[in-house]
Amino acid sequence: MTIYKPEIARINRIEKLTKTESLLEIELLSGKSLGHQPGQFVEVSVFGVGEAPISISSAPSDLAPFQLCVRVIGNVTSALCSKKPGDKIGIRGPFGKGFDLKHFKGKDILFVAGGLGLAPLRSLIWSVLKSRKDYGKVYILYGAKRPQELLFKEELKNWREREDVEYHVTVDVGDEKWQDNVGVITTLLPYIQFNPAKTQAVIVGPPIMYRFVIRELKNLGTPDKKIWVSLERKMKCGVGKCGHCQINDIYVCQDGPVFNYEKLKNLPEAI
Amino acid sequence: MKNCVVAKRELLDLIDRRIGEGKEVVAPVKQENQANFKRIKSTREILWEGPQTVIPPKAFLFPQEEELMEYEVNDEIKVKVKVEGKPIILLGIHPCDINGTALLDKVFAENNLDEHYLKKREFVTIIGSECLVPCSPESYCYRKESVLPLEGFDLFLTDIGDNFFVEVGSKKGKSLISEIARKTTPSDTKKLKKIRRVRDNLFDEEQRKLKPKLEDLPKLLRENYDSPVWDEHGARCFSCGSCNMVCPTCYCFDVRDYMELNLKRGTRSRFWDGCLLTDFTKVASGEIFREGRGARLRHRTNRKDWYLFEKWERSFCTGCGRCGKACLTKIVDPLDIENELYDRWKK
Amino acid sequence: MKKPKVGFFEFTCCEGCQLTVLSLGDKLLDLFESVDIVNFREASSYKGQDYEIAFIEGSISTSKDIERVKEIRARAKICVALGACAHLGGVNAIRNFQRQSDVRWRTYGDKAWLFDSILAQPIDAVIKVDHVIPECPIDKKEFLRVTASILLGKKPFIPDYPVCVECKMKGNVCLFHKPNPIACMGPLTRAGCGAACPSVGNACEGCRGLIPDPNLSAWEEVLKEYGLSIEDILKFYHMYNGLMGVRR
Ligand SMILES: Cc1cc2nc3c(=O)[nH]c(=O)nc-3n(C[C@H](O)[C@H](O)[C@H](O)COP(=O)(O)OP(=O)(O)OC[C@H]3O[C@@H](n4cnc5c(N)ncnc54)[C@H](O)[C@@H]3O)c2cc1C
Ligand code: SF4
Ligand code: SF4
Ligand code: SF4
Ligand code: SF4
Ligand code: SF4
Ligand code: FES
Repeated sequence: MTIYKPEIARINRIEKLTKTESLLEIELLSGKSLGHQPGQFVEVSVFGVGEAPISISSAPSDLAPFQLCVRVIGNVTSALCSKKPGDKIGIRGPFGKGFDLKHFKGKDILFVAGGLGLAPLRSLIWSVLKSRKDYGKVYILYGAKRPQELLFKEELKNWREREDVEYHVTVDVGDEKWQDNVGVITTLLPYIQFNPAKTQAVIVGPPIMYRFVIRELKNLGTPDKKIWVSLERKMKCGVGKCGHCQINDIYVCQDGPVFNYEKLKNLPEAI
Repeated sequence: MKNCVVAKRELLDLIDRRIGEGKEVVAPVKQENQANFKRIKSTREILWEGPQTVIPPKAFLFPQEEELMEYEVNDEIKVKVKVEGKPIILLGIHPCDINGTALLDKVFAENNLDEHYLKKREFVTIIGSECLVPCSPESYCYRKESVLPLEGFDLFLTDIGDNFFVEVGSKKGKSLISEIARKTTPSDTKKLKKIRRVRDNLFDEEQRKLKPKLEDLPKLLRENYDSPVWDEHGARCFSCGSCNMVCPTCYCFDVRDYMELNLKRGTRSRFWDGCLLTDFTKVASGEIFREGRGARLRHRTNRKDWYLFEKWERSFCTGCGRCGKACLTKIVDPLDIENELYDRWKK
Repeated sequence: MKKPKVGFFEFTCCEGCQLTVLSLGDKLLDLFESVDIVNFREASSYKGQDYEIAFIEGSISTSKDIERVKEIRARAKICVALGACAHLGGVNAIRNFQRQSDVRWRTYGDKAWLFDSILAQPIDAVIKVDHVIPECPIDKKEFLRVTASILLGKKPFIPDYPVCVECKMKGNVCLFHKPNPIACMGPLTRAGCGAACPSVGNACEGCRGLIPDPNLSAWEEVLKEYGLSIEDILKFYHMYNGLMGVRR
């Protein structure tokens, strides 16, 4: 066993969520549970093609299967999404630092997800919703480019219908059937009345989104240490050696991908 | 571990005998007007002094291209990890490179053990040799506390005339020379001290000067993060990565899979990579996280003399001068950059 | 798995790249086992019409070429430019910098008027190219790796970094640093050849094409330092990268 050797895993199920994203349910052949924290990632191998870091999208569980939500963009991701149930792949991890639930217990939580950012955030959202009474108010704001790019449509419906969740959604460009908000994600903030002093804000989305959302939240009075983000960088090793994921003096694969903004704001290369 | 002396002739004969028995001994040998590490057939080939090897000894522990595993993909997938080492004596390694290797030892053994490196390391014996004259006009080991090795060698030789004064760094080193080692005498120690005093004076006079204090480098770089120096130098950067390849403490790597034509057997290998290369931070969407040439140059410099310096309490630039030599536009040398930052900062 | 059908086609070139494929030795047998070669002028006279992957060698230099290469594109699912001529116009593009009538005269003598010789062009000037295997001639190892990638449905890895990376990995003394310095195009040229030319003491002439972000002003600075004139610099660019012109 070395830090680079993948464990063989089986794909149990593949569900196409949108034109470019699929949900994969995976299980290690050893039958062991992954034992992850929400926000952590795995390195997924398609042998012969390569490896890619992918966030674990399902909530932590004692059961063996876990879920990844993969967007087709290059070699490994295309190969993954064209696999069939029963096919074997490789898994290393879980790696990195995820969301530590102790910072969220008893607090109000504001989730802000942009596009594929919902994939890692979903793991935290369901962890919170599973023991709902341990937390204060829950707000979920989600934005995508177009209605047909929304992920996890069934779950979105569930969040919308729940009394104990305040859910808002937006798209950059709507269509005839779209009845919700149209505009960038920050246009959802006026819909909710959250108490910045009591709320932990968690933001996951494409790199450009962070700057705008963080600026808005700060304007509304959210302190830096109550803002959490998950960053994406190029990764090769996932274990703090290859140097690709470095942001100034920190390694995203070791010290992140989940960061408290208090720490990040001093890293000029971060956001 | 005790120091000792050995007669030069006896040590060289001993090594030659080992070579005769088939032992792989690698040492710097002349290559045109520079040098390189080569497997030697006789100790007569060794270039004890003079220009640096083009690439540092890291290549024997962390090769340019290294197969991490091979696999077979049928209904089942079989993965065979390759963690291999073979006995090699690295002979005539200079202090800067011993220190550089010692730093790699730390990073590859930190947290997640990199067995591929550590296994090779386990099998390598390092016999260092002290420099009594500066190797090149580019070097400045003396300014980086790298003119003597702190750790990371099995034996360290200093030429004190007919004998080598030998610092013994490990049991492996000790047993290698036990049959020819003699106790040091006060006169040996006196000779060593005198040689080092002369050497220090010579190096202090001849080697390029570092204007800021060594321990102030992290602060200098932190405070000059936004200096125009980075983009001025960066504008003349080829993004050719030469500075990364030749550096004894650059250890970033890329990983790539290659499949055979039958699409059944394949390998996963790692390759030297460099933070000065444009694609180093490029992700599938096309975004390059460290986009400007200046920003990449800054990252390299900061890694050497700020980020890793603070973390390990030791500069990750040994002052070997290789990057300054390799860079065609002469923009990369940390000492030059630091002096320039210092001059402008003071004003 | 059904073997994909593969065709090899040549335009204006020395056919050195196809020769490289033919000299793969053992690996050639592997190739024959993994694909069905239906058109390979150098290997057999059979001209299949049905192929999924077309390896196209040579540059486009007559209007008949244009018709033919378009026909190949229409039949093939995947078109691969094989070697510097197909990729860049190659050595053939040097003539773009001479008077066209001279070129025709030198090539065809008094039959020149029979041929309508157009500018030598890389094939991607005429058709969409899916993958490129650069170099003059192509590198065996790279050919095998790229072919395996294509069969796997994977975008082949072709470095975007310059030749210096591989030159340094080899431990070469830089040509610029030798006692008698030689000007080398390595810092601007796409790697992948293992620094073939510098490793034997010759300048890189850029046969794999420029990297995506060549720093031309830095290069000019270096050449000036070594006493080379603008004319010398231009000569370098033209060798393999003629059609790209001097981008400044
Ligand atoms: C912590 C983390 C979590 C991620 N979670 C998800 C997820 O849940 N779902 C999802 O679809 N994608 C996720 N990504 C992005 C995903 O890793 C890339 O899309 C993927 O690596 C692209 O690889 P490829 O082989 O398909 O693309 P190619 O273009 O063929 O290859 C791109 C190369 O860049 C490398 N690379 C390394 N890191 C990245 C990166 N972050 N983005 C892009 N390329 C990268 C790849 O290994 C590969 O070598 C995540 C990335 C990170 C860093
Ligand atoms: S940064 Fe340059 S001088 Fe310093 S150790 Fe690396 S190659 Fe040598
Ligand atoms: S840099 Fe210093 S220690 Fe290294 S070879 Fe040169 S003189 Fe010797
Ligand atoms: S700093 Fe110099 S050696 Fe390094 S990449 Fe730039 S041009 Fe090349
Ligand atoms: S010889 Fe050419 S390719 Fe090699 S390092 Fe020098 S400039 Fe680069
Ligand atoms: S060194 Fe340059 S000219 Fe020679 S094969 Fe490589 S790219 Fe072509
Ligand atoms: S991914 Fe290799 S160091 Fe972080």
